[in-house]
Amino acid sequence: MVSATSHFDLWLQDAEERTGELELRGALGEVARLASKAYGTRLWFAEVLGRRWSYIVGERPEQPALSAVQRVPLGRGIGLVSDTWGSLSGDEVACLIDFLGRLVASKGSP
Amino acid sequence: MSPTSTAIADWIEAAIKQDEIDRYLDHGDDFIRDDEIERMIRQSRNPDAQRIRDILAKARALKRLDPHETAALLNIEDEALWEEVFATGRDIKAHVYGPRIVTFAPLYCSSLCVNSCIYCAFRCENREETRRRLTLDDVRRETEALVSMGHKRLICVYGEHPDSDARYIADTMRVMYDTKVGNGEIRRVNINAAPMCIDDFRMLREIGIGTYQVFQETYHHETYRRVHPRGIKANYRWRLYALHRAQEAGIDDVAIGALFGLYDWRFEVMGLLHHAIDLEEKFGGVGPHTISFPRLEPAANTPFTERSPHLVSDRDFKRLVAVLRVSVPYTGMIITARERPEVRMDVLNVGCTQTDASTRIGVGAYSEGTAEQEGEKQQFMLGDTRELDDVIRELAHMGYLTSFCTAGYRCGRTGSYFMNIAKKGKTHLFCIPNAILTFKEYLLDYASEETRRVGEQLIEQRIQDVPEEIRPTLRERLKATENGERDLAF
Repeated sequence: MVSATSHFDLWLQDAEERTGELELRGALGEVARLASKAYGTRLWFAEVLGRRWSYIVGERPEQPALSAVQRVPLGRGIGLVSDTWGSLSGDEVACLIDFLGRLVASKGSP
Repeated sequence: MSPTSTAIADWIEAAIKQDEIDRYLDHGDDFIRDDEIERMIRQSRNPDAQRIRDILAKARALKRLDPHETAALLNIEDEALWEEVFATGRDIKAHVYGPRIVTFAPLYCSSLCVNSCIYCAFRCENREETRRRLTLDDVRRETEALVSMGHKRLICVYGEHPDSDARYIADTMRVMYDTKVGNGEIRRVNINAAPMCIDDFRMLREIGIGTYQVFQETYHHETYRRVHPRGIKANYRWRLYALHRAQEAGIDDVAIGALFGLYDWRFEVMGLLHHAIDLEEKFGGVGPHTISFPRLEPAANTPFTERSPHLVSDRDFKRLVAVLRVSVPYTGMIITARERPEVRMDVLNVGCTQTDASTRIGVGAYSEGTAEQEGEKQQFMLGDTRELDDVIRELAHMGYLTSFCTAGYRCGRTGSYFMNIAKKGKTHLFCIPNAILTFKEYLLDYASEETRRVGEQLIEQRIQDVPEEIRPTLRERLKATENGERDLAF
């Protein structure tokens, strides 16, 4: 049986392969692009500098979404911002954040 | 113990890093070519009405003007054409930003200064000025006083001196960000401080600086030399490229300004435009976040402020603001409490996006001062010292939402991302709902009864300006704010 979760697992595996050779900025941008295409998410990444979250790469929405902006620190001074998780479930969002945290940890500063 | 004059001289010598100027020059020249600017202004006299209308049409399409186009606007003689410029400024502001005014307070942290600017009461030769640098406890008290009024955004000001260097600025920023009073806190600390080197800018960036602002004062080289005879500030190019260094350090919100009254106002407008263009060209299209245009104001024991041959009349002031508005349609513009209330409110209408209120500029004046201005403790004299609540109520009567929004820079809408939105005229899509939410916070936590009444009516009107699909979410967040949640944003 092919479940929604397994589709996501395949997507995640593909994202890991596509970003393996990229430096951090490129990798984060690629994940934002792939997630947007597959699930309709809006993700962008920022350098966390105290209160300031300074844009690095990713989607650049030009109008507000219906849901609230969420900010997720990923470690190493990098943060994920999303105003739309699209069709991702809560568990899938958690997996995605976990993957991004590992990506940041393995690739260092942008 | 204060540093000796020798120590200060050594500090000045070490502060300027020539390679952090030279790297931005074009074939050894800076981007202000005095002769070319003067010639362009001269050659644009008596502009044809149709040409002016074509230029205004370009501005309405949110295209930044070229210098020869701005020069033509500066030469308009016909009053009716000026009215068209004002109307264009109003329309651009309404289209890009909507009916909201971002409001902040200045916080003067130090009046110690090594410079000799002949127009400034802080100049080191002015023995009548009472000098002071706030301790960190003082900074906390000042911040508490401002938070208690309802402020969320500060512009912090420091004289140029070894005792108020980048390390001190960083320490004060930490205190401001850490200070809380009830529901209140400062959410964005902008800095107005002397030019510094790239490493120092990096330090301020790490702490979460909002916007770094420095004014060139005058772009005219010879005038600059004359009004800054000594001190580190005598180096024109160290100052001119301060914002380039800030950008290189990763501070992607920078702010320019000129002090109008030192030289011909038309020249200064051209200088500001060239500054914006050079930043855009060298930093991937990211120009200044805001433009300021303070006028020379009287200052204690500083006669130059009242006898400069280039003082700007109220009429020309309104014109220069409108020309700046249409020349750089996507950049924020700041009108401050230097101006008298009637001038401020008039000029606000031709395109300003930010202002200050409840302003005190004496060092320590918020927590210790009286409502009266104290000339010997201030850099200059203010034209408008009305309280925040009074200014907000007047703005509300004019149809403007007071915005304390700081959402953009706390979710990555900075630099190229922000500029991309601004250049497409879409800033208002975020700004209006966020203005409504922060205005609501003010009304609940700080407003007088009368301001609350006027403000609630205005919110109901302005919700209609928000795209229909956003309104239900906005209403939910307004309800949540009424129920005690804070800092909700789009």
